[in-house]
Amino acid sequence: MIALLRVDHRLLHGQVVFLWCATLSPDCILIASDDVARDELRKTTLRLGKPSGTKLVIKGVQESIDAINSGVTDKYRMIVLVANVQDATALAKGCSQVKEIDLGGTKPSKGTHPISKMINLSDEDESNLEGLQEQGIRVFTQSVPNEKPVEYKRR
Amino acid sequence: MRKILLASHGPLAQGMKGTVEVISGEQPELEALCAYTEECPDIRRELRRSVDAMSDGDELIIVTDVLGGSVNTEASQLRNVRGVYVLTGMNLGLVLSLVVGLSSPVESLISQSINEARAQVCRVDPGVVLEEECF
Repeated sequence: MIALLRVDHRLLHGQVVFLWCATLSPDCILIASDDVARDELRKTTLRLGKPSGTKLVIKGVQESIDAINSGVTDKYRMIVLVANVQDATALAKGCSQVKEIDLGGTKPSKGTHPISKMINLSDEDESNLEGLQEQGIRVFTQSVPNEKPVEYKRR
Repeated sequence: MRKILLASHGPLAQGMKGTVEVISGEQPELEALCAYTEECPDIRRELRRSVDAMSDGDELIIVTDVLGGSVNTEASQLRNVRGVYVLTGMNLGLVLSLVVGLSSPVESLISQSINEARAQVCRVDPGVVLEEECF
């Protein structure tokens, strides 16, 4: 089962390793990213920082969707990390198991505007998220577990 | 009530608190003492003050910067006070583990946090290869 699907450009980092893992006690972390899946240096770097007692699986986005839908991930309590809203949208559209998306952090880039201190979205991101909400998927912003989640609303 | 008191030579303790809070948000139970600064010219007195402020049943985990340093020596003098625990070798992994697990039983919290922090002091080997994991 998916305990958390989080959008975070840093993927696996301090807040996830120390805080989300302590709160959710996952036994598996899935990083779903085409960029990372084909970058051996980055994959090993991420594996170095993995929390003890947790499996870390790194796959491309479509492979991740296929794995989740095949049922092989059902036995895990899993945190799924994606780097951007585009990948989160693909996962949510491809997997009926995805009911919620946590916007944890997206850095500013060309064409984005800040919607909170940690979240920067493009118009396309906002349209995608709104579309998911219309399909009944909950979208919220929350950096760390002890912070109150804020429901996402397009301005 | 359980508190964590960071104590260092100079500004490390305050900086550590700030860094922990960048990652984990505000932590009111985390306090900092920076010895040999204007705010804390007498570390013995300040440590004593923190310990004297404890009520029955309170716990104070003091984390100092380095074994053998004067700050740890002063803190260690208080190690037999009921509810006081003295740790040294402050690093971010240690303090984060303590903060995250703060509500767990104190003995296991301390031993687990130290074990995790120890494992974090390592060289990142340029040639390291870690095996792919599958579901």
